[in-house]
Amino acid sequence: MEGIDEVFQFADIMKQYSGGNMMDQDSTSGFNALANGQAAMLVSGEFSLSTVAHANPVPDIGCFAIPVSNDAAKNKLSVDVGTCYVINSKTEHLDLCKRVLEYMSDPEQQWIQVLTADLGDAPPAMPYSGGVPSSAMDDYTAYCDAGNTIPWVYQQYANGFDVTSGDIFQGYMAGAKDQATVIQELNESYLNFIE
Amino acid sequence: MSIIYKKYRKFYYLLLLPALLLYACSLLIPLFGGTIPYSFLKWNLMSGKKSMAGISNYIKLLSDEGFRTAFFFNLKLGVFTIVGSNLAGFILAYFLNKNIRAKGVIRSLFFIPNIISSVLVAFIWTFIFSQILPNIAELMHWDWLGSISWFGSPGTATFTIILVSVWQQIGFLMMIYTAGLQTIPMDLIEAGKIDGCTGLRLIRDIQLPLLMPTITINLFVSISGAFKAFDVPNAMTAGGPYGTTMPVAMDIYKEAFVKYNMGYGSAKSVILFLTVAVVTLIQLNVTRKREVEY
Repeated sequence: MEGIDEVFQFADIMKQYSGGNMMDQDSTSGFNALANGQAAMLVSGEFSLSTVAHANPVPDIGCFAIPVSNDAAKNKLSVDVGTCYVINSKTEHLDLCKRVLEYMSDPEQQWIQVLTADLGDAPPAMPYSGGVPSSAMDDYTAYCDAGNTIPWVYQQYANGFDVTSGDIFQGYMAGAKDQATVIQELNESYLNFIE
Repeated sequence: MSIIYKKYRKFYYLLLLPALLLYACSLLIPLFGGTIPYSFLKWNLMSGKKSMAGISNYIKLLSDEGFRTAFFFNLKLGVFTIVGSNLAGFILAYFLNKNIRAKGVIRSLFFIPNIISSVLVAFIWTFIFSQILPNIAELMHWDWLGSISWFGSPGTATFTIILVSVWQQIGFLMMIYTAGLQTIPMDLIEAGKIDGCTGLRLIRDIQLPLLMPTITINLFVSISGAFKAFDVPNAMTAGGPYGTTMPVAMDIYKEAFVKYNMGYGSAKSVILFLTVAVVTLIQLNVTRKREVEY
């Protein structure tokens, strides 16, 4: 799989520079370390942009996608769609559901903006403005404006795989499993989901 | 059979009826009408497809390494938690049964962890392990303490869960042991002392045998509690690192509501139910035989 070795190389860098107790840390301790200058970088999602921007003093840092390739265009930023509306195909009230969505997506109502009608095809972000101004936010919007984004893992794969894949990858971070074992377990686990 | 019993037998059964109905609705019907039949199905909640799987779910369990890990973690958690909490609970109850100052306040302090939400208890201890202990280590220049990754290895993560579980349960068990110790007639204790039975011998030969009904209850409560463990491991480690501190209850939850394999999750539930039933039946049988009357 293209880029898989680079993912593990990046994980190795994280292990090397995250201290001996990295497995004990949570996002809060990561924010604290970044805010008081103990940490230079933080691996997190876009939800942390606002938290970092509210630190005092605000660290003047940017953000970048986890590198999986030497080709910059392939390094896409994982971003989230806030809300996804799904209509059950077996519903007896398909027309009524559609009417609700049509009403909500009416440009005059301004409730929602329909980005896609296909399940699993939710584009991760649209051109974006807002949020707390910061260098990291500037980088984030640049990724979104260029369409250089990718959905989070739970939007890409079968439901539940985001949880089990995290458990499996933890084995690599803890040093208990090697790359080949982790890849094998991820494949086997995913087959269980789609069988 | 007494005459009164014969006369009022129907009335006695009528009194039992509300409890039996509640028991049937909350346990028997879901178990025999839901969980056990579902365990023979291949049923994915997301796709909604159901098909008969026979005993294949149970056969799959034999080679399921995740379930085996969860089962052995539960056994480990059970053994250490049951022994630790009962031993500590009895020791506390024994000393707080003596004439010491403010024993009511001390008992209340030990009981407080039992009335705090397990999730809150877990968060407090997670903070202690991940923030307070490393800071103490830094201040005191104790590198050995600072270098311990409490949640990073299976051994230390298991230790933290056992410690918190024991800490939380001690208060409740202590109260039951206190009540048990207070029911032992003082004349028996004094008679023993006059005969030269003191110290540890008094505990072993007189107090413990008379406490057996209390021990039966406490062991029953702690065994079933250990096998149902979910909240503390979930809030402290979420089963990590890499699933090594995942109890069976959490494994079942993930199977049924994360992977959406309802049939396979039900089969795991049946095995857990049978395990708890067998272990508690053996325990009740063993401890009841040792109960003495005075």
